[in-house]
Amino acid sequence: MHTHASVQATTIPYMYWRGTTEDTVVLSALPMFHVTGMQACMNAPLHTAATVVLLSRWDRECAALQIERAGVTNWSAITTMLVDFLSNPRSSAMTCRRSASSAAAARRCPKRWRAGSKKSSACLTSRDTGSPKPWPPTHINPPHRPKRQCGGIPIFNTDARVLDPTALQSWASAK
Amino acid sequence: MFKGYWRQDEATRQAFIEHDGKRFFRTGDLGYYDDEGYFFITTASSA
Repeated sequence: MHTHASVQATTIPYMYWRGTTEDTVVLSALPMFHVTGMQACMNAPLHTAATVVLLSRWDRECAALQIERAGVTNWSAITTMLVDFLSNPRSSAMTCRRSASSAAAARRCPKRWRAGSKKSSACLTSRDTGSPKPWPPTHINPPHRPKRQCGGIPIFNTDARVLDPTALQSWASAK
Repeated sequence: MFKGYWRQDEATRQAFIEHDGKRFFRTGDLGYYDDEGYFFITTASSA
């Protein structure tokens, strides 16, 4: 069960984290019946009064076209989507020239692939699990200093602990 | 954080733990954090 408060607790911080303003143009290409699409592609940009460029279904050619045409500045994607996008043989000619900031589940991306994505000026951040229970994101990488295969740091007002799974006590050290 | 499972009090009780005087949702993820506070999730111990 979520309340308005538990949903808004991540809607609004998410936009601050990404540096979104009313001038932001969001590429919305995720299903809105899932938490990431609902938050990143609908609730957050509506709250910020940003522009939403809506794809009715995933199409990498259309995504690239819209990034160019509409001047997309923010794009929240799932990992497979971003891999498909950057695997487009035509992508080098037409994508990311506007330095779109893309967020994907970077924790799940292969290392080699993420090294390549940096070159194409995609700024990878990350959210944590896709579980709707905490109403993600709970953790995100700071856009200016992400770490690879990392869930990021807890977002505002989030207290995360690592406990011994049997004793449920804190470890003596972080690991 | 979600409040609990709809009409499933027992499942809700099992999903949360008390620790350090606070109520935490137990994710079941296994991992660690580094000395800068970045979290690394290595695997999930339960769904």
